[in-house]
Amino acid sequence: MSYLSAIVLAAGVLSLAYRHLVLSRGTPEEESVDVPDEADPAADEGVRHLAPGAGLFGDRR
Amino acid sequence: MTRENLAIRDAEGSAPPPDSPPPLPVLTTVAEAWRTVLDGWDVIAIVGAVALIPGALPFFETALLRRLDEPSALLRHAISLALAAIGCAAAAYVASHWHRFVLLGRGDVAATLPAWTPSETRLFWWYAGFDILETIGAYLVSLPFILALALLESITAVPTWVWTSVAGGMVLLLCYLSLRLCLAFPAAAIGGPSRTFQASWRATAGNGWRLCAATALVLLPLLPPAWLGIRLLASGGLSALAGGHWPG
Repeated sequence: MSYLSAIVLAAGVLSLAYRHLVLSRGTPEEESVDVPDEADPAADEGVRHLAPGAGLFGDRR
Repeated sequence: MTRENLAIRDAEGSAPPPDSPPPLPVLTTVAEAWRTVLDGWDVIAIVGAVALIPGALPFFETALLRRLDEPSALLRHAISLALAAIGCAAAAYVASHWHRFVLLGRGDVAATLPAWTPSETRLFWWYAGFDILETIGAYLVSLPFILALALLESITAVPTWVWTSVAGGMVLLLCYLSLRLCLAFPAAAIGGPSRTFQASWRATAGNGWRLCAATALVLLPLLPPAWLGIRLLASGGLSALAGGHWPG
């Protein structure tokens, strides 16, 4: 159980660090790619709050 | 972020912008990592069974080697390699799903669970490459220290605390170097930018120790249960399994 928790927590830290250090450092051109779809409020919510588990920029699948 | 957006950003180049990276908020990252565990307990419950495989492999290996009557060195190495690959695959399966859950959302993971997808395959090869790099790095980092201490030992007695301090320092240094490369894992899992170890090294510049601190802090609460588990394993009925004395 500790092993599972360790994998999940360490992977979580790496994911969040990746989001902070790589994905959030967009150039203006890149940011324009991530403009939320107005027809999809859930996606907009994801962009504003960056809620983990809810999709970083909203799940538009 | 959708996979399509990631593909567009990836096409613009895997290297992050050249400006200095923002400092990683250590405590916020740790708190958020724990919060994702609460949010995604159902995902953990599904992929968790696979995570138990690496923990059981040492017992399986011991039991298997006992059953084989004096296996050759080649066979022993082949068994170890095969079991290491199974452990690597299991870890890649769990970690890949978790990276995708945190970065792409529940929908991305739910769409593929419990199947093995190209994301897991990619992470498996990244883990394998990382293991090779880590092994080489461990030799390169530790060799000068060990040689220096051995030379010193031949001249005069080196106190135990010096050996312990050097070993602790080397472990810390290796953790630091390893974590600087580890951002390639979430990148590989979601197919995002900065997938190479080199790009991960660049992206974590100036944040290496913060990343180490966040990883250490997030794992800190696991120490008591892990210690208890080891004590149980060493003293209880499970010690029979540890020795490979499986029934039958």
